Formats: sequence, structure tokens, C-alpha cells
Amino acid sequence: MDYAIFMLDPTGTVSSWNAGAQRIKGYSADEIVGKHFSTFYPKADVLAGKPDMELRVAASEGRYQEEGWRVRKDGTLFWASVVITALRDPSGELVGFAKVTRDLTERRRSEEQRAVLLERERKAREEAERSLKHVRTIQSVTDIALAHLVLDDLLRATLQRLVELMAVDTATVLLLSEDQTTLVATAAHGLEEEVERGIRIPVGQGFAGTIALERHPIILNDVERSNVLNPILREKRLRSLLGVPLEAHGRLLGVLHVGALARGRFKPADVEVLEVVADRIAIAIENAQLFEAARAAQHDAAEAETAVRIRDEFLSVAAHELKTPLTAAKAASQLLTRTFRNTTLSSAQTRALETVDKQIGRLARLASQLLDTVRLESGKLALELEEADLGEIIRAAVEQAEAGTDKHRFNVDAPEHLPMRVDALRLEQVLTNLLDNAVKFSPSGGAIDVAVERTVSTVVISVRDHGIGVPREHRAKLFDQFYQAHPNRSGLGLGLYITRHIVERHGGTVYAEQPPGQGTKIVVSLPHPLAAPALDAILEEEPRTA
Amino acid sequence: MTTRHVLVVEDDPSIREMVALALEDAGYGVSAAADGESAIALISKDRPDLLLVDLRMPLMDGFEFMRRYVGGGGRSPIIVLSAARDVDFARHQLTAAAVIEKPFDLNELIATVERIAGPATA
Repeated sequence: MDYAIFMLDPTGTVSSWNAGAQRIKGYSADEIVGKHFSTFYPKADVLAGKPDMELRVAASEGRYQEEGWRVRKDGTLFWASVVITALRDPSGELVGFAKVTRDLTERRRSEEQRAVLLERERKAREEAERSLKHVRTIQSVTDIALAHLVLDDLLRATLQRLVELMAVDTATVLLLSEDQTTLVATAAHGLEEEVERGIRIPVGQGFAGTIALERHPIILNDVERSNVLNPILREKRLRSLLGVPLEAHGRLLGVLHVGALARGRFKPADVEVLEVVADRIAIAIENAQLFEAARAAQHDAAEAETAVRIRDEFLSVAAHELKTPLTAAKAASQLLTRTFRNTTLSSAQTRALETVDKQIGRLARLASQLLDTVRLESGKLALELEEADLGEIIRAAVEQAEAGTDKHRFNVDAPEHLPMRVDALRLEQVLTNLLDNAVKFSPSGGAIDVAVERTVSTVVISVRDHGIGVPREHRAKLFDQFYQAHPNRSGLGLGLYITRHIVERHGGTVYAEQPPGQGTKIVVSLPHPLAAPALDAILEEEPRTA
Repeated sequence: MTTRHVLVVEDDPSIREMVALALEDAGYGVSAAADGESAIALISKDRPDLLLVDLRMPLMDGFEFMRRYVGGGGRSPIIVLSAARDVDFARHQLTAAAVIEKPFDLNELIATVERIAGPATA
């Protein structure tokens, strides 16, 4: 690097000039000697008195040093390192200054470049880290797929290394089939035909089969005279074979064997080497199999989920599609009944009209049961809670049930009015379901008792028939989906399932019990905290002990 | 004596026909449309006193039809015919004077029409 070295007199006038100074600043000695050194400073610095300040500092401190902008002869700026040293004679009198200036423009530029490069590198590193994250995400997704690929590659690479390491001619891995009866050639080096031809050896037979059965290494040093099954081993003219079982955690996975064209090739020390390799391979195989099992389980779960979703979608569409013709048919039958209101119909005509209407009603109930089931399964059955009168709900349900049978007698023991916060339509559906069942399970008729009891915190509704009853072991299952206590009865097995869910959504419970005598009693208990006055009324009834 | 007029907007031809016949039988004037677009065209002509509207229809469904009808200054009450109570009931009890779930009872339907629009002739 060039140094501009020149002298100034005590006032700052240039008194000497060297070649370095000429190269850096552009002036020849003739041009600059005798000029004031402020020529080298940018105008702003000169106006600010910087050159004189520097000389004062150098004079008082002995030395002034800085880096700053200076001006060349051609007017261009350069970044300079400047050292000004005061020169004194032996008496201490200031005789001038020595000034050494270096052009650091290049250094400064490279520093700036370095900063730019550092910034670029930082950005690149961030980018790389982002990419790495990305790759890891992809990896986690593809791990399962890779596991397979990796095992095959790993086996091939391992066998190749094994052949080199042991200086043998062939190496083969046979894996135990799923049913544990057969060894299947899976990877090979020098014996690729085994894998290509899908050689299968029964466990217990031949060389590999015996290793698998006995779980013990075998050395064959004279193949021609042994019971080797595999024709390829003979075709290849292998004379010596060494095989060990592949085992992980005590479980047999397959057999690893190596072969040599030379006779009498294998010694006991080779067994140890091969066993170490076999351990490694077994672990890799086990991992791959675990991966595969996990993947298959995941796949099965996903398939099951899809099947349920498709079933629900189908049921939903089917139920909706059924509703349109049902609506039209129901309207048509009712229109017929209306238009005949002033006509005298024969009893057969009346009966036919009634039957059409009644059967359409049944179809409609089945369709809405299907739809409710789908809603329950998908969590879309929403309650619309409102102030309703339980007394009224029960009367409506009983009236409807009475219209459907002439063999049954309905006894209702319930308050005229009982205000509750419920979904009235859904609760009526519960009662209709219970009454339908009561009718269905007492085919020879009889009494059906509906009772409402109040406790301090609940309202208990019970519906009891005197029919065929439900055996104890079936009682809990009554409320399951598609369950039918009496399979020869009609219905989808959804009524009590839906009932249970509606009751549970209200915060209640439902169960079946065997009443004294015959029949079935279904009990629904709904939470209903009593208002204080009603509570007092109940407590009043309690016999007092005082 | 004037006859009250009901507009039935329903895409299923059998349901549309049965409802129309039943309302005529009950003495109402009836016009019918298979979708929202044709219904809009009928409104200015027939000036219905009541609208019976199905929600699921091609071209213009019941929601869009009601929005347009009310937005265009229509003031006659609307009864919604719905196949899915949970969703539609909650969404339209404000716009609709009543929501009737399919499959409906024809006698109840006519009773509801009479309650909301008044008797067929007045």
C-alpha cells in the first residue's frame, strides 16, 4: 500500500512531497509545495476549520490521528488514514509537522462489501433454516414411505459391504413370511436371481430352513454333499455357505447367509462377524415392520372413518330424499280425505284411506329417525329449549298414541300443568317413542300407565306396559343404536337410541326396569330444580317431627 | 266478497299440485311457481296475500327468494316449508310468519294459512 509522506511548516504549508503522495493525491511536488494543506480537505471541513484544528491538536498532543474523507487533485474523494506528528527542534520549538496519509478507499469498500456479504450470508442462513424446517416437515410426512425404500436400500448396501468385508462371493437375506412357514428371498448381493425369482424355502427344509428352525448358525463347507434346496446356490457353483438367524427381541425375522466359490471357506470366527451384522440388519427390519404396521393401522383407521362418514352422508341424503315423496303422498291422501268430507264412503274406502294415511305416517317416522341418528352421530342434533308445559306435552303424545290403537287403555297420572324448560318437540318425540314401544311390546293390549313424579331436583316420567317384557340381560342394550330386543318386531332399532340421546341432552337419564307383574317400565328422569314456593309445598307434605 | 290469494313456491311438482289443490278446495285463489325466479315474476301479477315457500329449490332457492321479496318491499306474510327443522327453523323464524316441517299435515297447513292470512273469502 502507498503512503503519502510529506512535511508541513508550522502554518500548514506543504514543504516536502514524496512519490506516494503524488500517486495518492495526484499532485506533483512542483504543484503542491508551498500550498496550504487544507487543499486536501473537503470544502465543508475547511469551512469548519478542521485542518487548523488538527494542527492545533498535533501541536499540543504531539500527534493527531483520524480516518476521514480527503480530496484528490481531480476532485474525487478518498477515505484516508491520517497521522500528523508535530516536529520540534532540540529546544522544543515547533518546526513543522510530518504527515502520513494512507488511501483506505479500497479497504473501506471491501469493508462495505463485507458487510453486504455478511448480510447476504445471514439472509441465506435464515433461508436455509427455513428450508430445513420445511424439509423436516416433509420428512415427517414421508417417513413412512421412506421407511420402506430405506430398508431395501439399506439391505442392498449392507450386503454389498458385507461381501467386501468378508471377501465372500454372495450375501442374501431371506425374510420369514407372515404365516411363519416360509422364508422369502428379499435382498441379495451376487445372488440377485434369488430375489428376482422370488425363491421361497419352507422353514425346516434345506440350508436356510434349518437355520430358521433351529435358530442356530450353520457352516456348510461342502455344498455339493449337503441338502441344499435352492437350485440357484448350485447353479452359481457355491461351495461354502455360512448362515445365521435374523432375530430381534427373541423373534425370528429371517435368515442371513453368505457364500463362497471356494470350498472350506468359513471358520468359527466368521460366524461371529456375521452374527454382528445380522443383529444390525434385524433391528432395521424390525423398525421397518413396525413402521409398516403403524402405517397399516393408520390406513385402517382412516378407512373406517371414511366408511362411517359415507354411511352418515348416505343416510342423511336418503332420509331427505324420502321426505319429498312422503310429503307429496301424505298431502295427497289427506286431500282425498278432505274432498270426501261431504261424501259417504263405504267402510272399505274409509279403511283404505286410513291405512294409506297411517302407513305414510310410519314411513315418515322411520325417515326422521334415520335423520335424527345421523344428526346425533355428527353432533348436529341441537335442542331448542323453551318454556313448555309437560302436562300438555304428555296429553298430546297420549292422544296421538290412543288414535293408533284400540286394544290399549292409557292411564295418565300427571299434573295438569308443569312448566319446564325443554325442547317441547323433542320431548314429545321421547314420549311418542316410549308410548309406541309400550304398544308394540304389549301386542295383546291392556293398560299403559303414564306417570309423572316430582322430587326436589327432578321430574320423573315413567311409561309402563303390561306386555311381553324385556329380559334382564337385554335391558341396558335397549338404548343402543340398531338394537332390537325382539328381532321379529318392526322398526329400525333407533327409537330408544334417539330417546336416550334427547334425554341426555336435557341433562337427564333413562333406563328400563321390570315392574312387579308383567311388562316393561321405562323411566325418564329430567333435572328440574323446583322454585322455592314449590319446594315449600313439598316439604309441607312431609310429616313433621317436632 | 274478495278471495284471498296464496302463492305456492315449491319445486316438487306433486307437493306443489297437492298443496295448490287443497288450498283451492279450501276456497283460496292459488298461483304456483317451481322456483324463486318464476315466483318473483308472479308476485307483481297476482299480488298474493300469503306466500308458501320451500327452501330447497333450483335456480333461486327459498332463502334468496325471501331476501328479494322482502328487499323489494313485499309485505305479505311467508310460511316456510322445510325438510330440515334444526337448521332452517332457527334461521328463518324471524323472516317467516311460520315454519312447517315436511312431511306436513295438510289440515294443519290449511289451519296455519287460515290463521295467518285469514279465511279464504272476506
